[in-house]
Amino acid sequence: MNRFFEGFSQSLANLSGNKTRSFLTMLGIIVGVFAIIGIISIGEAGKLSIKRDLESFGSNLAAIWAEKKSDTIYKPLNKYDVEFLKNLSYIEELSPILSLYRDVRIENYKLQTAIIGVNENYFSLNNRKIDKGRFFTSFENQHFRRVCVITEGIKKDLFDRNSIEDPVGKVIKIGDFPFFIIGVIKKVELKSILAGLVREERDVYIPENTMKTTFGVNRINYILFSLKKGIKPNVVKKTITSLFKIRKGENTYYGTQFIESQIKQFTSLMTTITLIIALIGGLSLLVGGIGIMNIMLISVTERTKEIGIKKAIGATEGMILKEFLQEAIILSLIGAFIGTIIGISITVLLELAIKWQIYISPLAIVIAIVFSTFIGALFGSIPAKKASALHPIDALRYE
Amino acid sequence: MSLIKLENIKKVYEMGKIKVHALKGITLSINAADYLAIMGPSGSGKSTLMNIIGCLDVPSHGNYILDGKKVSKLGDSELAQIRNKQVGFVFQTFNLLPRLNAQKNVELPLIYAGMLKKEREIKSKKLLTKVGLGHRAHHLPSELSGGQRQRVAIARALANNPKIILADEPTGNLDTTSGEEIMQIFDSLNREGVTIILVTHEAFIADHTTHIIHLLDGEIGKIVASSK
Ligand SMILES: Nc1ncnc2c1ncn2[C@@H]1O[C@H](COP(=O)(O)OP(=O)(O)OP(=O)(O)O)[C@@H](O)[C@H]1O
Ligand SMILES: [Mg+2]
Repeated sequence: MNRFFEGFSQSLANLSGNKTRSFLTMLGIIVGVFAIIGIISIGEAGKLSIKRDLESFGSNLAAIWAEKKSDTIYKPLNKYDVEFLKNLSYIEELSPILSLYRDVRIENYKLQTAIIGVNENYFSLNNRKIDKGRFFTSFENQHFRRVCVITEGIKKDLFDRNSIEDPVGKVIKIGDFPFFIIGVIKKVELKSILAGLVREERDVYIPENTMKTTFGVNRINYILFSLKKGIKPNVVKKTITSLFKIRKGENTYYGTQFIESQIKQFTSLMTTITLIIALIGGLSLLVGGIGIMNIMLISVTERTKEIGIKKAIGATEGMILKEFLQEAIILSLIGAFIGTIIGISITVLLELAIKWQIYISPLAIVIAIVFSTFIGALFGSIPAKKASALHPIDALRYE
Repeated sequence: MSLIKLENIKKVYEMGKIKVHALKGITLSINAADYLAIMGPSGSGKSTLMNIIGCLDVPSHGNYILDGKKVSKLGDSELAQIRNKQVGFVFQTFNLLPRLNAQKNVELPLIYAGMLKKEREIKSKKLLTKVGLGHRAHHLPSELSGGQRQRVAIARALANNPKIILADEPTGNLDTTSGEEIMQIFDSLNREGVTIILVTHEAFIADHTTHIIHLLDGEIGKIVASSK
């Protein structure tokens, strides 16, 4: 151990003899390590943020809808399907989703927007929070009450913009029918890049039964449901698909989607993409290794006389080899260290700037450092071999 | 039994088509504690012979037996060990490492011998004191005079208590006074029993030794007792 540190300080002395050159030599390694740490960390941070956003919708959420494929017929979902799903033991809550477009009016102002019919479970299913007022109840749904819950977008565009205060308690007209506003839904707070992709909601939610009676809409777009805790989505997917084939006929098709498997698919895709980009970053480590090799080859030539002297006073080939190899490894280690510091600082700054979760991948640091040590040893071995193989008297005579 | 035994040593340098016969069959026996000078005109093969004796170079032909061991049979690490422990080389141009101070230069062969740091520091200090440079231990070679540099080189050659000191024109780059000081050191080393072989062009340097080997065109011309 002692001897190792001596060799280490010896190498350091050699390297600091020409600081500029040492630094330039390390540049490739610095950039490579910086790239690997930065890319993997930011990739991971992005993945975590997006995953968290997706989970905020409810991680056990799923949906089923009728679809027409080339060899199937379209048979829409109906209230019996809703009842059927409701009775399945592994389903926790559900809500059918119906929709139509209508003008929404208050005073002289109007807005065309989506009217969405859901039951009282919809809001808890989707993890939605109330901003003002309340959601509607099962009673209101069963009794076809003309009540509605509006989103922030409607509040902004129909009320705030026209200086109409506090929508809760007011009556709006949906199409020709007056509806009582009982609540305003809080906006979904997304932190990841998804925030940019999701448009502001300008929807009005009304009870599904009211939708049927008032507007005559019976077609269920899809049924949203949540699985009980611990239920695996892929098992349910198979079961439900085959159950629906039995219920609705072999020639029908029902699509399903499970958030949990979506998240899994998505994160594994992100991991793959991150790793591929990191690999490209890693290539610059290879370039860094070649840089080290070049400079060390020059250094061997410059230090030929020194090598000759060392051999003349008893250094073996192994000792010379070790000395140069050590220098190459230390060069890349210092490069890796600088790269790590730069990588961490810039990554944190970037993550702060885009308001993501602050995340540094420890694995990336380990990979980067181990890999650059390996690169240093690999590319250093060629000049080191050359140095150690020098004939003592030829080396001594070299000017 | 002789310490150094050379039997019909030849050295041929091949430079493309031209062959240079630097040594043309040297047979020589040197005993422990001998004090020899090698003289001869430039290009007569003095350095070549010294390098072969010091195991820095290998002969093209002939046998070299050092301390009972046939050198041609030895591998790199054994040769390195001989250069480290049995032979101490002193060069005309000193050959110190410019970035190491005097003490670190002296420590180098001790490092190769595997000596621990503490012991090394004590030993190198002692060696520098022995050549009269105890007070210059932390000077870089560039901060020392020629004579002082050569004394550091001698301290380094002595590091692992070698039986043999080989000095190729050790005073060649020094003024007479400094050269004389170096020779005093060799004299006293020889009195301690160290075998010393040196190459010189100067008769008054050769006079410090007991015998002078005259080389002529790669061959031993004559061996004479010096006029001491
Ligand atoms: N590496 C080499 N390649 C080719 N020829 C060489 C080499 N080294 C020495 N020689 C030749 O071998 C001969 C002996 O050289 P050497 O250096 O032993 O002479 P020397 O007696 O030490 O001379 P000097 O007094 O000038 O130092 C010379 O002719 C020289 O040119
Ligand atoms: Mg010579």
